[in-house]
Amino acid sequence: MYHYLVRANRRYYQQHRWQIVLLLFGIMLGVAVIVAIDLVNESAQTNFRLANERIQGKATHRIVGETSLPEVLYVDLKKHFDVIAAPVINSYAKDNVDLGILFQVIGIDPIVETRFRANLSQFWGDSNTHFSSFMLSENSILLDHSSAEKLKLKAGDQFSVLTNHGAVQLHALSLIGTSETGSTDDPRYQQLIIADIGLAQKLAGLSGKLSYINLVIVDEQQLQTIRDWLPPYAWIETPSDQQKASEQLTRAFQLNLSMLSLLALAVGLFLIYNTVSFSLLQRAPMLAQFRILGLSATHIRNYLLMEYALFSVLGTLLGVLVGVALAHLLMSLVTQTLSDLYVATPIHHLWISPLSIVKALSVGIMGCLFACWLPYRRAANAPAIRTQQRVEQEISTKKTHRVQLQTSCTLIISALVFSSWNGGGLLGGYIAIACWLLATALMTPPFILASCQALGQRLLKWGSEGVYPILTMAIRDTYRNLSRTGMASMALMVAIATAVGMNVMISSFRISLEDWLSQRLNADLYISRVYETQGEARKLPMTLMDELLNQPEVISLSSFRYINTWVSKQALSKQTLSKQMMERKVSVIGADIPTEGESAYQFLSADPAVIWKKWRSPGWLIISESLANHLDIARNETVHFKVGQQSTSFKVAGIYFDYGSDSGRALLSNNVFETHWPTVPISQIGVYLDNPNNQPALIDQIQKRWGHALNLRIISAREILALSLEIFERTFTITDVLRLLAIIVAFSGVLSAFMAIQLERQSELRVLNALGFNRRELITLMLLQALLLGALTGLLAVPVGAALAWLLTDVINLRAFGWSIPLYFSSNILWQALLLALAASILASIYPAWKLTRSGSERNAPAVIE
Amino acid sequence: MVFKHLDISVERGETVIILGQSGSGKSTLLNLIAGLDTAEEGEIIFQAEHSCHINICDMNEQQRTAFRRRHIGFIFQFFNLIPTLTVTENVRLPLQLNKQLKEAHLADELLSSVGLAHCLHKFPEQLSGGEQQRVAICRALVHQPTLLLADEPTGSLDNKTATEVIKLLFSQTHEHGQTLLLATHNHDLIPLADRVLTLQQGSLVQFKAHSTAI
Repeated sequence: MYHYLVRANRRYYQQHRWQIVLLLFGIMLGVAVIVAIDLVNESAQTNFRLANERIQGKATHRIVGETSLPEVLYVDLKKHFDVIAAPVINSYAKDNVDLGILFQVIGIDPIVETRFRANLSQFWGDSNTHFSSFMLSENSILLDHSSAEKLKLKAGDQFSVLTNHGAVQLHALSLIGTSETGSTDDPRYQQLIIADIGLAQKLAGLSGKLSYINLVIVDEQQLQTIRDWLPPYAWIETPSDQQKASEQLTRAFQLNLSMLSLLALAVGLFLIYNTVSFSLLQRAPMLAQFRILGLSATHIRNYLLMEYALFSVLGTLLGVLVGVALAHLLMSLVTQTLSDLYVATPIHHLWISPLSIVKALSVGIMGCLFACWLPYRRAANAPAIRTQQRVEQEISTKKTHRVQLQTSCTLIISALVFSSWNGGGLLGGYIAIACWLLATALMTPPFILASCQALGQRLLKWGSEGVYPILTMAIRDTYRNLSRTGMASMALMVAIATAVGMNVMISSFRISLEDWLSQRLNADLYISRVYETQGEARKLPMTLMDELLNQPEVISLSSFRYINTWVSKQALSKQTLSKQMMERKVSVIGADIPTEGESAYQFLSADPAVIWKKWRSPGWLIISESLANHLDIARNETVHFKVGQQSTSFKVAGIYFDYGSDSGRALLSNNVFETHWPTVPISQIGVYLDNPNNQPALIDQIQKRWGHALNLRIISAREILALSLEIFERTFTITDVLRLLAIIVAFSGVLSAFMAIQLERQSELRVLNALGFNRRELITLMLLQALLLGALTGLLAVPVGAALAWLLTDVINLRAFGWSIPLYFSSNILWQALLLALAASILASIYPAWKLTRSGSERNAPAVIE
Repeated sequence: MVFKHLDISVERGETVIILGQSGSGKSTLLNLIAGLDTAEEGEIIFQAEHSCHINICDMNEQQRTAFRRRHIGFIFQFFNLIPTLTVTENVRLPLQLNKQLKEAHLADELLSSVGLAHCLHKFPEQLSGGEQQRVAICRALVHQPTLLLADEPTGSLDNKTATEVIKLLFSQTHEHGQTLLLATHNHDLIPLADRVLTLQQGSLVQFKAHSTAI
């Protein structure tokens, strides 16, 4: 029964190969972006977990502190309890040949560590020579195979690494990380140095200190006894606490990426819908013939379902393959951004998770079938005799416009509800965006229709119809062909509006960030010690501050010390504290701020003088806007911080604008900070000068006096600003890539729509030729039509994009990161959007226009059934 | 389209020409008989061989499709051949739909009999208008339907080709004893028909033997 139906359709696709290409391209691109982002997000989390597991080994718990732990705590622990415990140092070092390798340096005690790492014995080889060398010889370490390959090292070679305390020469005793299959690229060992604890302490600058104490405890009672015994600065946490902290840190960023990938899929679905609609419109007469000859509607339905299922599966499989390749490209971008914004991980492996693949396959196939559903239903259920008539399709399109406008209104109301309802959280914000984009997309064809009709009437009124016949025809053709171009214009509008929205949001963010940094960095110089890698805060001596204050050109100094701790709006019991159930981990800063430095902080409301007065009193602090939003805290309310194993409360004197941390910051006066965290050193100094011209001389003087001993980094506010903006630009690279992909999909949509029109107008072309239209005029007609479609789509996309920018800043950014960003509209962005829409339409119409004239003059096209 | 008091009956093997101006309801009547369109009121009774009377208006979509597949052959003004099937495939299509695969040779024989043996593997767009309409006639006849419906079959052909096609159509239907209903503007065809039916705005104004109609 299906034999000739399949054959006829197969030949149809052979004659219209570009339709297959566009259909597969739409599915492939949408699925590829989804797969890539999902794999990258999953891999980033897995890499965090693996890096954590490398420290953890088989430990069930670990003792941690706000900063490092004194070594004596381990000795005392072993003295008091019969417990399986091991000291650990965790730090980072960079290669010294600029290959960009960031090593995780794990310091262990090899004697006790075998209880935590059963595989450790394999590294010592057959004899115990390596073991003794590791223990006894200076600077001997175990190095992972893949790093050794990059550095062209073999076992026994020497190499140099950069730490926060300068360059250190190491001896690669043995290479680790060979998997059971013999592969030397086991990601669990990527960029890893295992050193004896003494050497690791030297590399990390943690003499007499430990990063953690690993424990294996199964007895809950013993665990509680140890908890009670621990000094206030230390507590016990489980591996899941660590994972939760890293997940919380990056959740908003990863969710934003996922949403962008969904946008690419949505635009891809537009393309699929467009292509399927056109292919069915074009095949309608043929399918009608089969119906007339006696093939039932069920047969046609079954065939079409099989056809689209086949395309869905093929496109999705292609999408998965391309997605994996894209994920490899995006992995470094995402890792870099996570490292810039949150925390560095030495493992950069891309994990191909079967779950991600299955997820993408389901999303791709279901999404494609969903996009095909409407045109399929229309084609399969249309009465045989009417499917032949184009006029029926146009009438149905006009009816659809009415429904579209009604649906738009409902969606706009939903967008307003979800954007103003804070309880909806980040997901509610994204629903608002989806409703807004869908509503405005649905409005696009009716908007084009109304605009073209208005334009046509205006021309009529001016009496210019006869003067500009081609323009008049182009206007009429634009709205006459909306059944073909409607979907493409919707996809183009969404893509351009998204580009406008993102551009406005990013440029507003950039301006706000620059303003904020210029205000915040109001000292002339900032002094800290050099940080080659992440590590513990390095102390700046008081003598340095005293000497600086004695310099005649120095007016005053500000000083800062930092600690990360848990914070909550609710007062917490000891039990809750021990289980790390507080709301979020934030950066707490202890600062001495002179009067000159007060202007660096802009408050949301209230008199700054009153705020600063309160801030200097015990029990008060100021918090960043993001923290206030995350905790839903207002001025004069109380926040609770975890200080060791205790909870300490402070009242909020003021809330200040801050774009430095999306998890939030709290600022205490140094005196208050010191009473709670006495061991945290001052690690940064701001210097206020009477004359900025004195900067070079003072830098020279400080470097001569302290530079060598302390390895100081003295940097001007201007340089920090430039560095920060560089990181900012890097952060948005991935967003740019995803936006570009969305625009490519939309461009393909417009191209397919114009190809559709071109194919349909073969017979009309002959008529126009007969009427005296030459090739140039025919091309002009097609280009004018494209120009009109692009201009109208672009015109609509600008206000839609502007509203989207508002949703992105005032809803998404506020809910995800807790900071508010004033919107800045640059006319450049708006012009660029319009030009982008025009360029996309014109480019997409060049090939069809060229084909239109070629086929018209060279080939005698067959008669049209209509 | 509204038909008023339209009551006609056509005998097996009869050739009937339906005359009328554009919009008089000629095509609608053929579509209704073929089950391509449905009537809100009235009856269209068909008596198949060895079977009782069937009212097409009582059939559902599926039944109408099965009825059309078995009993109807349709010829259009614009040929309506499937552009992506070859000539022979187009003609074999009704045989395949009726599961008469063993009689596939009939298609080629029929095409040869109308002088298209050289075109079997060509695609419709490679043929002239007259050739395309001859293929369409073969497709309509190949499964030996009881009723042949032709809607302006010569409307897009020149006079010479139109005459050839009409001759072919009438000779084939006579040869196979099929009933032919042919909608046309062309009064020259009247002498060829057994009877003539004239429609005007959905009403039957004449239904007579051709000699009377003239």
